[in-house]
This record gives sequence, structure tokens and C-alpha cells, in this order.
Amino acid sequence: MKHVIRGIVTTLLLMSPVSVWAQGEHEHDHAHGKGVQEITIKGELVDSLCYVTMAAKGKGHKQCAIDCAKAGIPISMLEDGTGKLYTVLPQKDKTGYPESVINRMGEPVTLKGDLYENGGNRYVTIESVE
Amino acid sequence: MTTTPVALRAANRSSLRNKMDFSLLGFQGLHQVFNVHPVFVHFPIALFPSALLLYGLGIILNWRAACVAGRACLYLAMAGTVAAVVTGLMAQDTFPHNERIHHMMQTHKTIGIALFLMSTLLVIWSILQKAQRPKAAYPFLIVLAATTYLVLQNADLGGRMVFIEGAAVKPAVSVITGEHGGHEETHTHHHETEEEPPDHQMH
Amino acid sequence: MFPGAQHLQNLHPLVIHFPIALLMGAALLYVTAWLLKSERFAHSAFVVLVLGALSLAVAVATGLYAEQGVMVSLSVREHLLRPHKSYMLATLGLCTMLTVWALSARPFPKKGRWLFLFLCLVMISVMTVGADFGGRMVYDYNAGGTACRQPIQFTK
Repeated sequence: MKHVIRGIVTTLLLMSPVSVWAQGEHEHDHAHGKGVQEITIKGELVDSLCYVTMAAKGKGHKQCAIDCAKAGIPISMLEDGTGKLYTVLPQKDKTGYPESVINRMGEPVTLKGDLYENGGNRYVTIESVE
Repeated sequence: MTTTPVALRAANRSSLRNKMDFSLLGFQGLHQVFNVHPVFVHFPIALFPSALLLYGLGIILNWRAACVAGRACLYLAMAGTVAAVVTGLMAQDTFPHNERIHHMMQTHKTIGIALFLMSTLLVIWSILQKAQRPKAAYPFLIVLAATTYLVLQNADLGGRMVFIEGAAVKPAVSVITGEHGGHEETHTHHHETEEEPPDHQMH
Repeated sequence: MFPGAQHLQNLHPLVIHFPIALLMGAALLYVTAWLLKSERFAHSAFVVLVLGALSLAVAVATGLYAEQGVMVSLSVREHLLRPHKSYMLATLGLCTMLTVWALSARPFPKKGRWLFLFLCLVMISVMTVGADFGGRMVYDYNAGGTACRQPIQFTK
């Protein structure tokens, strides 16, 4: 009997980290399940103002795009082929765009992050830019 | 989608109308520019470097045909310089400008007049030639090179006046004059602009 | 040395002067050669035409590169930039044809001389119209410049 109780307690103790991990995974899956998904986008980082109002993009516009991003104009990701625009967001609140992202403006990049959709608008948080 | 000949012709006409707005043709740009000086500046800017290149090849490589072409470019450059200087003098009072533009314009004008004198000298010098090669060929090349440098320097100054300061650029008038109105040709008083041209930081 | 050039967003405004002046110069020299029946003028015209053609190729290349990044409103792109591009590409086509013809029968084709001169004048006319569109973009909409805030919408 004592062996049985010892076995049950040991099993419960061993399972607890597993359950915590599983819970975490579940939350992650749950969050993604709520319309958030990981996404990889190939395209170009553009500054929203100049692209939307003037269709300005590309290497010829790079410096202006960098200046716009530093001035606070939102960065967007223009997807190759589809022409879809995703507003790029930092991963955390109270942070700006990293310099490594700003310096890649106007260049073809691959952006990985989390996709959010809200009221027909698309947003992607930056996980990595290559 | 219908494919009868009549429908296709109608579709093609409609497609052409969509691609071409014929009402935009005509030289409206010329009429709307404050002055015609920008039309003539192309000639000295392009033809002096071309003359330098051709004379350089002709003199260094003893290539007569290049000297002939260089001479043609030099004469065309001189004619272009005359036209540019004359139209520039006519234009200086025709567009709203502030103290900064005026200051740049004075330097631009001085160099322009110097270029006219130098090009006159070069044209006369080129007439004194033997087998299309100017007498004292290498000093000639040096003077031509100096003239070309001044042309390009003056062009840079003119470009700054237009692209950065907005001289003769219609939408920049309010920026230049500070939206006060009635402040054309502010030669002497200091002009406070409400909205300073933010140089190359703005979009 | 040239501070203005460093402020430019692209090279296109620097290089466009060359084809405009050189191709007009070539046309003028060819007409003069025809009127005066002068071989010397014909040789000069040929050299200037070749220089003009090379500079036009550079101008078109820089223009195509600049097209994506130039900051003008969508309406200015449609009404001025697009026709500017069309006319300049047409000029490039005509210029290439004339240059190849002149190269094959240098300096001044004897057969079809009238047609050659006529096409020179057509090329100049097409280039002038195209340049007019370009001039309007600069002087009416500050294309490539930083003196005004953008976008500035197109108005006739």
C-alpha cells in the first residue's frame, strides 16, 4: 500500500513540470488559435506614408524611408507578388523599431513574426528580419 | 467579353483613351514656368564637358576628327551660354524669392557672366588653330577644363536653388515667402518664414 | 565639391542635360551639314549623335531606377511621370535606330538622307515633349526636391 501511495505521489510530482509546459503550449496554441498565427513574409519594408500616398519604394527611396521611420512614420511590409501591406509592429510595448529593422528599409527582406488582423487591417510583430 | 470587330475597335479606342490624355500635350510646361532659363541651361552644362572630352582626346591622341567635333561642341556651348545668361538675367526678377535664394542667385549670376567671358576667349582661341588643333593646345585644355568645372559648379548651385530652396518652383512659393504675400524680390530686408524649408529631412 | 549633387535623391536630374543638349546639337549639325554639304559638319554631327545616344541610355536607366523611389503623388505619377517615361522610351528607340543607321553609313547616310533628317527632327520633337513633362514635375510639383512637403496632388 505504501508503495502504491509513493508511486502515485512520485508520478504526480514528475508530471507537474510536464503539465506546466503543456499549459504554456496550450496558451500559446490558444493565443494563435484566437486568430494570431506565425507568418513569414517575403517583400520589402516601406514607409507607410510615402508608399500609400506616392507609391514610393525601392532602393532609390531607401534613405527617405529610413528618415521617415526614424521620424515616427509607421513601417509596413509590402508582400512580394500579392502587393498586400502589413503594418509592422515592435514585439513589446513602449519600444520603437529596432535599428536593425530601420536600416533594412527599401530592401528585399524576409520578415517573421506574429500576424494579427483587426477590422480588415493586417499587423505583424517583428520576430526577425533577414 | 465580346470579340466582334466593332466591339474590339471600341475597346481599343477606349483603352487608348485610358492610356493617353491628349489634352496634356502642348508645351504647357514652358508657359507655366516662371522663366525660360531652365530650358537653356542644358546646353552649357552638357556641351562644355563634351567639348573638353573631345578636345582632350583630339589633342592627346592627335585625333583630328575629335578636335573638329570638340570645336563644334564648344561653339554650341558658347551659344547655349549666351542664351542661358540672357534668359537668366531676364528671369532674376520674375519669381518670388527670399534672401537666401537671392544671395545664391548673385553668386550664380557672377559665375555665369564669367563663363560667358571665358567661353568667348575659348572660341576665339579655337579659331587660332592648325589642323584643327588650337595653338598652345595644352593651356587651351587647361582653360577649357577650368571653364567646364565652373559650369558644373554653377549648375550645382542652380540645382540647389531649385531642388532644395524651391526657387521658381510653384508650390514652394508659400514656403519661400512665408505666406505673407507681397514679398517678392526681397533684396534687402531679412525675411522671417513661418515654415522654414526643412532641407532634406522633410517628405 | 558639389554639395547640391549630394542632396539629390538620385542621379537622373544630373544626367538628363546631356541627351537634351547633345541630341539637339547633333540634329542641328546634321541639318547644317546637309545645307552646307559639309563633310566636316557631318563628322561632328555623327560624334555628337553617338555621345547623345550613350548619354540618353544613361538618362533612361537612371530614370527607370528613380521611378520607384521618386516622391510625387499618385496623380502626378499618372498624369506626368507615366507620359514622361513613354516619350523618353520612344526617344530612346528612335535614337538607337538613328545611331545604328548613322554607324552603318557614317557619318551621314547618303541613301534616305531626307528620311534620316526627318527622323532626327521627330526624335527631337518627341524628346522635347517628354522633357516638358519632366520639367513640369520639377517646377510644378518639386519632384526630386525637398523644398515642399509631399504629396502635392496634380492639377491641370
